[in-house]
Amino acid sequence: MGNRKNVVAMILAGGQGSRLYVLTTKVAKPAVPFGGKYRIIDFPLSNCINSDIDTVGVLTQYRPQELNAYIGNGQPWDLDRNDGGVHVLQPYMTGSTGEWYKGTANAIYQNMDFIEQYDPEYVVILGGDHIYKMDYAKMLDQHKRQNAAATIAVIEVEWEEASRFGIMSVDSENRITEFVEKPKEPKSNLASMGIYVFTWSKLRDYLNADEANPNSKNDFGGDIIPAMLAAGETVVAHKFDGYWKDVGTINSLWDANMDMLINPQLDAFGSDWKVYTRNPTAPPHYIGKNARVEHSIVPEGCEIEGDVENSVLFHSVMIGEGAKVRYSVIMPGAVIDPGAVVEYAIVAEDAHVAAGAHVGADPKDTHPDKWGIAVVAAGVTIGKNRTVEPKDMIDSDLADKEAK
Amino acid sequence: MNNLHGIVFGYSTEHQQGLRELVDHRTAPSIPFGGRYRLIDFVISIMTNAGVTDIGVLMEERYQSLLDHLGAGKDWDLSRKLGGLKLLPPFALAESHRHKGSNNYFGVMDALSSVRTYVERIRQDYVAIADAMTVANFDLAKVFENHLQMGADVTAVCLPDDRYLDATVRFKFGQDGWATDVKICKDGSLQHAEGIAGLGFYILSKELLLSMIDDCAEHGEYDFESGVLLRHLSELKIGSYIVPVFAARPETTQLYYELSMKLLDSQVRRDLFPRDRTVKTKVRDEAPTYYSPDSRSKNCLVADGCYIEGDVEDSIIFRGVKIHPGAKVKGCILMQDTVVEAGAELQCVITDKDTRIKEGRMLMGHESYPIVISKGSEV
Repeated sequence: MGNRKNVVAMILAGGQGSRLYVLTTKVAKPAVPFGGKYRIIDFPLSNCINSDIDTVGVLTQYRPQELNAYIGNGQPWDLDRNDGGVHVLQPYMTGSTGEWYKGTANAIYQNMDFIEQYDPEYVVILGGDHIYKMDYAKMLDQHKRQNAAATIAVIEVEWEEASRFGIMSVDSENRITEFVEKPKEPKSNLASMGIYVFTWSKLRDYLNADEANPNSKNDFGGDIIPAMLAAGETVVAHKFDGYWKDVGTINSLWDANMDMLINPQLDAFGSDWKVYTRNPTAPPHYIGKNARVEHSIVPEGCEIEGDVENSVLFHSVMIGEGAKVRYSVIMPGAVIDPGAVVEYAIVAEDAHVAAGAHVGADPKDTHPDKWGIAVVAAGVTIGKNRTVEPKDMIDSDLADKEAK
Repeated sequence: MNNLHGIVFGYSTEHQQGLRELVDHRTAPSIPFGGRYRLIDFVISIMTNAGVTDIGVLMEERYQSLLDHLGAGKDWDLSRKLGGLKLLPPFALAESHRHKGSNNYFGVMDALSSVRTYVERIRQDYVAIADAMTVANFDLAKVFENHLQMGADVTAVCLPDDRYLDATVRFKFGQDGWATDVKICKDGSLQHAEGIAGLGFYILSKELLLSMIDDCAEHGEYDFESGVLLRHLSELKIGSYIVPVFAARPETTQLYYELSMKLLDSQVRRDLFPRDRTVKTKVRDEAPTYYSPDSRSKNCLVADGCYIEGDVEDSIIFRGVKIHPGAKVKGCILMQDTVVEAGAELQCVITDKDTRIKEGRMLMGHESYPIVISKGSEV
């Protein structure tokens, strides 16, 4: 059908993100709000359009409704195209069979027809759970220059962290000589970012072979790349030295949000590589007469009457007079009543922290074993004068309590 | 299909010279307002929020910024195959309807006669006509429902309180609810006159509008209030619908300044930006606003994409404004992409788009006469 495309990007957005616990009981991880006005998936989607890739498949599986509605026709990312554009791809039935995606490679295998209709030269495979700005065009250039079958984006990580990642060893021309998933004794500190460029004709063959292998876990890192290396294909590493952060856990999500406050590398305020998002329709935010806002991000629709320090707020957040919000992430529509305290916490969408309640604690005031980010799930009310301890995750309402 | 069509007069009708520098580069309905909007956004949003699907915007001159702002109407969901937004720039053939030697419409009926074929082709039976300078937010669906229920020929949207409007038309209504008198004064001297202030927002049938366009053209009338309402006062059932909300029409720079500052009042914000009738505008993809550890801000309305490192008080800050460390901004309206460099001090200043206030400069206006820095200038 459509015109031929040189590159098609596929975003793997089916993960539940179970380590985000109560934040992903209703939405898939890529739809989790991030950085004051974005959702995690805005980053790969914006990278695609900024890298001149206008044909994108988004593979969903877990709790897809909100993600589907969010992506819609792709207009916020300029991906509403007659030719190409963004398409949400769900697992589907074929005749009497059909199944959930078994692994990352199987997800692409099941959508080979989608890719084939554009007859592309290259396919870019992306995850939906990282925060970074990256020009995939540069990676494609390297892929073509080195005439590779596969190119994997890598980033240098701290040596002590290296055993948490898929680690590559490379030769002087960045050709990958060895790939080990989570090595106990890493030989290199180049970690896979889960971003791949494949020559489509090659990948197609390996996907078919992988599907025929009953022992395969159908995973790119675990099966496809090792198979390519074993067969002697040219697999190269593309080094990336910008900001890149996994947001798969509560702590890393909180960290990455805090990074937004001091992050010249990600440069959210730079205009040359914008991150696009579906904009809410809200008036500018209002900072009240007795409010104090320091080192924080505040988007439209907020009404701030209290103190906000070192925090990332999302749109339409209300912070009452005398309330204190410190080192926290407050998601869209959340209400913090006058006199409430929220610190070192993530308060999800439309949650309500009533007067006198205290959510989270400063690590200074807590035993290190007991400390962690406190989380209030979407729509939950923390009643008057209630306390939410550090590390707690509250997913149902807490009733009011008498003041002490 | 919603049976109401919208026609917006997207040009400044009267006192635009009072807007000074703000209209040097643009037509008045395109003046930025409230941190992220243009004046015209309010009237268009009133219409779309009431389910109006087809809106025509008449333009006259210096409409380039308006074209850029409205585009295909996508941000209001008005980019449609059938209906949607229709931009109506001045039409050459309409010369026959105008006085020789003038490029301006003499009034809304004059403007409408120049787009008579467009009016003929309207798919709906009823038309809402509105001045794009009106800043308000009310439920037009209720006004329309009332219009049909009452069996009115014309419904005028009216206000109980017109402190910020400079009403140019006032009505007296009889026992039966129909207008018995219309006072018209285009220079705002009706401020203290008796009668209920009209907002310049009307509903009437397409059929009546067409016959009135012809009637006005034949009798040398150009104005809706005098040519239609006053001239046909005895034959037409002119009803009213009172909307108890904040409404304003900033027709001078002083009024513009005063009205903008009203947005710092939470009741006014609730009136203008209710969550169930949002005001839509052109999307500009900006990061959220960042406040630095040393910044100090109080009582201000701030849009996205700003980087605030200095002090801001009692001000309206538009998208993409940068305020450097040590800068002091008080009682100001800083439009899109204004940069205030370190140590500069501004009081009662309106900076237009893309202006730059260099390091250490001090500018002091007064509430009664705010200084305006023209678009793109450097101080």
